[in-house]
Amino acid sequence: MKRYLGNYFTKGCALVMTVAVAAGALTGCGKTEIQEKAETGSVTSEAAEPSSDEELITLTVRITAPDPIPGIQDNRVMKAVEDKFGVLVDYSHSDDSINATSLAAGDLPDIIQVYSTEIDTYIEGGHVIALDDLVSQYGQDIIKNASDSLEFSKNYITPEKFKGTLYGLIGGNYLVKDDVAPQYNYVYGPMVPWNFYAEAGYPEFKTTEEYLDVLEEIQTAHPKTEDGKSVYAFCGWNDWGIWPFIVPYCFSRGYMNGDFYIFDAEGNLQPMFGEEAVLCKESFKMYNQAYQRGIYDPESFTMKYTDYETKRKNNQVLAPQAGGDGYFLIPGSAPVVWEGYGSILAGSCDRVLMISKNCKYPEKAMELINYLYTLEGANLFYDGIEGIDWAMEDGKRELTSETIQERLNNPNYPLETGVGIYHSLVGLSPNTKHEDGNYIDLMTSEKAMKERVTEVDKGFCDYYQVSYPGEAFQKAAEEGKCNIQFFNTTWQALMPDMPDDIKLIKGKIENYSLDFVAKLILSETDEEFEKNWETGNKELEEMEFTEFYRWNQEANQKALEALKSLK
Amino acid sequence: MKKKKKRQDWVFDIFNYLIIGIITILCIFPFYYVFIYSISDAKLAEQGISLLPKGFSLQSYITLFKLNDIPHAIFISVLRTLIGTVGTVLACSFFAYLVSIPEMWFRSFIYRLCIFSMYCNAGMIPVYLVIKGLHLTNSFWVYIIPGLAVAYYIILIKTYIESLPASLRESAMLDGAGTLSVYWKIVLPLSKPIIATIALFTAVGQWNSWFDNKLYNTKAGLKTLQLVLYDYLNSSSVLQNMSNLDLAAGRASQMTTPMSLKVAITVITILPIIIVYPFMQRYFTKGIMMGAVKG
Repeated sequence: MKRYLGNYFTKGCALVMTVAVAAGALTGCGKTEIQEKAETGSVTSEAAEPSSDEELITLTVRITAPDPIPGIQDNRVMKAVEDKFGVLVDYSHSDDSINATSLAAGDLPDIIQVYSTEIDTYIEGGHVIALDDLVSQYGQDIIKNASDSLEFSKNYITPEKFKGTLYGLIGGNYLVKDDVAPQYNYVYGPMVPWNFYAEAGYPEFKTTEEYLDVLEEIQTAHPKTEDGKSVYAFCGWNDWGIWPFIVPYCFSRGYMNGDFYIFDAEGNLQPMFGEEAVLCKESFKMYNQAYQRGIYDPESFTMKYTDYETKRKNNQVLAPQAGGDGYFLIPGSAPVVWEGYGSILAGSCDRVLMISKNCKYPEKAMELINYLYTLEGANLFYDGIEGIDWAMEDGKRELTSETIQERLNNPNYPLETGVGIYHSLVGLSPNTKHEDGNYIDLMTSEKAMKERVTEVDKGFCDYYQVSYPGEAFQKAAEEGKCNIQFFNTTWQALMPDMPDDIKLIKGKIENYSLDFVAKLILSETDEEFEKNWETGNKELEEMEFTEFYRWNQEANQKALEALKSLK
Repeated sequence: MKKKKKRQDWVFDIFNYLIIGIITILCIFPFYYVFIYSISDAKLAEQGISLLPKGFSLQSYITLFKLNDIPHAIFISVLRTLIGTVGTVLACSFFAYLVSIPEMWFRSFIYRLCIFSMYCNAGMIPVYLVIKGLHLTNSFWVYIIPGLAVAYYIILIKTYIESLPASLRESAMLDGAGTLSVYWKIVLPLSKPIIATIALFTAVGQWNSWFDNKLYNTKAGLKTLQLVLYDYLNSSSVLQNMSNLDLAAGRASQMTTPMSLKVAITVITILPIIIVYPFMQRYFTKGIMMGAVKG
């Protein structure tokens, strides 16, 4: 009997499994309820669970920048938001996989930030709502403080089919155009290690030759670190493309890097390779000269960035690419001091905030977003709470001295307080001016700049008789010794998407460029350098570099024309 | 009688031990490096570490264990590891046993369908839609149910079971044992080596898994240890990068660095497996070989 039943059991299991497989196959063929609802745009979100407290609403927010730790935000900045709006923010990081699955399943969070180049999918799929009505009803401060970027978004970020309708809100707007916060210090250009530079008697240098002489002298005096490791003037790394080999030189000559081209403050291009590549060739030449002098780290092309950082922090690099403790630019040593870049007209237009169709409380979401476009809101997110983090002093907002020290010395301060970690959400740039005369980011006020000076910086400040290092460059600019340059990159947002054939060419150039630059910099003689330059450019020609550059030039020209019509 | 070693035997032995010794060091050194980095002073360690720790600091571990979510996340991770391992072992072994029984209806078809799933995957989005359709999102069971049947493990176990004498089953059935009894009282005890292997694989997979948490669960109460650590590391890295560019913040006395946190996270992640593995090793070596022989 048991054996009989046992056989039936086995057969029964087989039948169940077959039915289960068949059922699974049949289920997969049809549309799910979620998919059907997504097509009609009536999906309700499972992600946005209402709070157990009836007065509090939970808004799910997904942002591209991975700053705060995901989850319900419970630091003091968000507590202030909760008290003001009755809203809890459930924060998550954006991720390609997660966004793709959310789009497919129709369960986007209430507020989502996406890159401007990806906005089409969200709009054409009916996943997000048009914001014109919401902004006009609940976004008065957005209209007041970011009208330019609203127009920009409607006309240049919204896909052609829906042009004129507002879907995405751009953050990081400037209230006062062409007035950017001063920097505490400037980091791109011909750097020197201050203590060794002082030891060498503060030698002046203006040309590349003189700069290399200074570094060679320093390296000769200090060839090894305390633990016996070799010191070199220059060092690079191989996992950021050719960025390490062009940025300091080109930035200090008034150019910024793009896609195998550099551009000046007016948006005029110059290629990185080829006959027209003057500045980049000079940059490679400088490093080659350094190599020929024995002051260029030969391991540069076999190291990753993390290896470079280890060397830099171990004081094995005399002239790092982007500054660090104890390294300074010398005022007047280079014609241009790079201040930063951004779209003055259209904020951080490479990404936009949208409200999804799943949002049960779009009015509340818009109220919150509108707050982020106010001075009060920006102040809260960048500087903290009045009375705790900052206070009014002589009619201006100023950080307390304790807060300044806390921000300098406690690396967990942003996570603990929420100050400064939601910058990608905020509608106003921290570098924009407040009504009281200070910039929104109070770490750039005169008081904070002075109190930020550390022992390491003091030597520099005493020598140049300034209150903080950046002031030396501001003075030099006033005296006409250099030009402090901010790059308005609005035109980049107006460039069309790169077509696939141009992307293919770019891929080939990317694969080849690092090898090419390595051969150039590691050339043993000037003649070898010139020969490698010619050979490499011929190879790039065969890869259609000229066509790639010409496409970029034309796109750039069109973008500059479009920019004129915007202004 | 012990054979006297010739000169070439000695040379071979020395060469052998040398090569194996070097390979052993190469295998062990990364773990050693990670461990000594994690207990070194973060700032000194940034300047490079070779054979010995530089300074001594447990600050990275303290920082990590101070995170609010950690105790609950550890509980979730342990729970999913235990339940997931037991569930997967039972499900895969029972399935493998059933498809090894000659009398099972459609066994070839079902087994081949199972193998097919090893080679063909619908992709992330269809899987997500299935999970969502089954209402497993924001549920603890999303960690368990999708992983219950693993084709590769079923193959291993089935191959192992087929190496057991058929007469064992036959005699048990003659004595009145049913399918379940045979499975539970005969097949499972005899399959200890392969079961231990599968259990170890599953436990490691469950312990290290974080992507399913990131994709399917947004509830804070269901966060696993790995995702908590991953999120914190991402935040710290960004903050450190910001502080490197912002000279003022970069001069803060950093008690931890992203690298020190990464290595501490690595140690926390691999420590349970390293502790458990020596107890499972004898089953592992035997089981994986026996399961692989017939393929």
